[in-house]
Amino acid sequence: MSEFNVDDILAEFRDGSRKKPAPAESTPAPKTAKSIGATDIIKSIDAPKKEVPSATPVKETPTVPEKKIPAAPEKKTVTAPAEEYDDYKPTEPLFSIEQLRRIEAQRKEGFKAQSEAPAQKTPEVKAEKPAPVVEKPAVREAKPTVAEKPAVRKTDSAPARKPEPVAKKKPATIFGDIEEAEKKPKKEKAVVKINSNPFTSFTDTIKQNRFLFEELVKRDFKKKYKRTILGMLWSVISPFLTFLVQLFIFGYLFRRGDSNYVIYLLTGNLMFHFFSDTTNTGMFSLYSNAAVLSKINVSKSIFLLSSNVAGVFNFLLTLLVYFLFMIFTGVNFGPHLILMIYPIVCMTIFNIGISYILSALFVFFRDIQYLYSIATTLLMYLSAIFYYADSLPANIQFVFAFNPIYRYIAYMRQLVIDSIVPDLTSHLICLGFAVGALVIGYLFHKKTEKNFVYYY
Amino acid sequence: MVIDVKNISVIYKTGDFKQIGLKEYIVRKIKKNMKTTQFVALDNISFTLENGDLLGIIGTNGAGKSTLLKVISGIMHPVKGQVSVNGKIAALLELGSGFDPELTIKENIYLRGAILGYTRAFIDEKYPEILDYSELEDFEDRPFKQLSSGMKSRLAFAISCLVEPDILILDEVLSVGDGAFRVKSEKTMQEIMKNGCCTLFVSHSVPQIRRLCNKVLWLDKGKQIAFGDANTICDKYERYLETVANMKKKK
Repeated sequence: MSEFNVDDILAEFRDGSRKKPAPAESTPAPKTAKSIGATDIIKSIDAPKKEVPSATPVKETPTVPEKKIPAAPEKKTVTAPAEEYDDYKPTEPLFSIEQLRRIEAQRKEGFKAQSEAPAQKTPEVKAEKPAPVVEKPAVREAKPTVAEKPAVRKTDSAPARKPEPVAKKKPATIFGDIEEAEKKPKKEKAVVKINSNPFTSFTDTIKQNRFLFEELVKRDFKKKYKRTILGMLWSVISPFLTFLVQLFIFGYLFRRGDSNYVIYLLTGNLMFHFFSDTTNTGMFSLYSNAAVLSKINVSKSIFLLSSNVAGVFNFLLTLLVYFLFMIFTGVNFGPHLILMIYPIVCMTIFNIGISYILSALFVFFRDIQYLYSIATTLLMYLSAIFYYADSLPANIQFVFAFNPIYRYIAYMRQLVIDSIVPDLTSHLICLGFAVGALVIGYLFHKKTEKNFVYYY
Repeated sequence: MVIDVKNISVIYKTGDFKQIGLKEYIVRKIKKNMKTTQFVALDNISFTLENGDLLGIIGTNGAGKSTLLKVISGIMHPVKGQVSVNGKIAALLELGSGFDPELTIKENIYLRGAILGYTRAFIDEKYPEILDYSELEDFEDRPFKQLSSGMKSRLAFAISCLVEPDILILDEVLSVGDGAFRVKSEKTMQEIMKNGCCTLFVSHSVPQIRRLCNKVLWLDKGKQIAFGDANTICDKYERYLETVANMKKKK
């Protein structure tokens, strides 16, 4: 008893190109690599059918449509075998990969070999599938070489008696010269055009996105603080605890600070905590929503933005306590304090850009979270949070120039403690870092977006 | 043409790349030992759908039906080929996605509605209707994880069937729930299908496909076996299943 192969059985049910095995004695299935063992297929399907009587009704029913199909190869006209279905479209490829490779190899040797070897095959190919080649030039876009092969063969079978002129001059095909196709191997790019929401207005889109955004922010807040005792206070308390420890060690034990040290230290801690907390949550935002993103077509940016907004809310809460400290330590209150918004906005944009990069990397490599926690620790040491930047030698000062967090902290300190509006250079540098991070992050995200779904 | 799919292929990169971390990735790049194997989920699928078509997608497990739906709804990008879709898509690939187990039912309804693309006003208006259809009025403030699975799918279905799309994509969502629910859900889906212009529908139940669909696409292991009229292909498919069953019995 021969082993049966499901693919072989399927071969009998494919549209139009396969023959039903019962009446076919020697009509091969020429299309795929299985054509090599076509007779084996027929034998393996025929033989068991004879043994099992229950299979005979299966054998008899195909006789009705089968009568139509053997008629097709006899016609030499160029029409699709459309007797069975009205909107039938033959879709499978003309040649298998093995056949294509053989054709390539033969073509490289020269047309002489080609005219001899597949001479037996050409009548079958022409007879059974002339239609798709001519009717569907669209196939050519996906596989240019496929469409040209039968055209080449058609011209070749004619001068089979004279192989020499064929070898010298490459025949022009219906679809263009072969030389052109050989020179430019096209890398096929998939084209996806989904024109969803063609008629909804812009305001509707905004409303719908805003609703989703609000719901996601609410969900993040509720989930984070469910079953915790202090709830939202945690996000406010944690930077203050760090601040207190640093104040004790560096301010009291080491006696490093001057009169403004308290507010100096607190500014640094709050800004840095805003950055590290927001980017950390942003890093997990895509992967933790993988269940939704792999099943529903939602814009990924919304998840990122909603987690960033949650971070901004936390920071604003910490700012309330910051204001209290400002009052206690006698900071000058004046109209210049309105400019505090500027580094906050810049830092928000900066965080979004970094979150784009981190979230994409996190989908691909889970290790990034450990690397990033080390990176933030190093960055904290380099941001002059608990020491003064000028206490380091002059040749290291460039490090502070390139550290975006330091720039934002310095801006804030200059504004609040020294009551000076920073100069234009500082403004531009802060904005530059923010916009740069956003642009780089967004581009990176767009480039790798298509692969996320394979890594969820 | 509402949906036009030409020669698309989807290839997964399986093998070591997915599981390794950053360090392993760099080590292998240095050693030039980047081995990834390929799994072809869809191989050269092409079909076209017009206004008013109901396409049923059949095939054995692992044929690539869900992958094809994901490509059409825009979640996955094919490696080759062209996809062009015209119309508002509502893809219900998994009824239970988008719900959060910790939140209450009310919060979940709003969240899921937001993910599906409704506006807040729309959900406010339809909220009593949703509770009524899913018969969950008493459970409004319970956390979602406390519901039974039948209640969960009823709720998910109630929210999902408010969509009014041009193109509806269903991935075996009509096969959950008890008998009464199945009848109810099928009736609702039929109404939605009449209002929309195009539906893609995956099912393992050939009688259901015969009843509902006018075109059928038969996939097997990523390859397209047949596309065309529903009745003829359903006949072939049933005959194919019989043949395979007979072969197996004989073995």
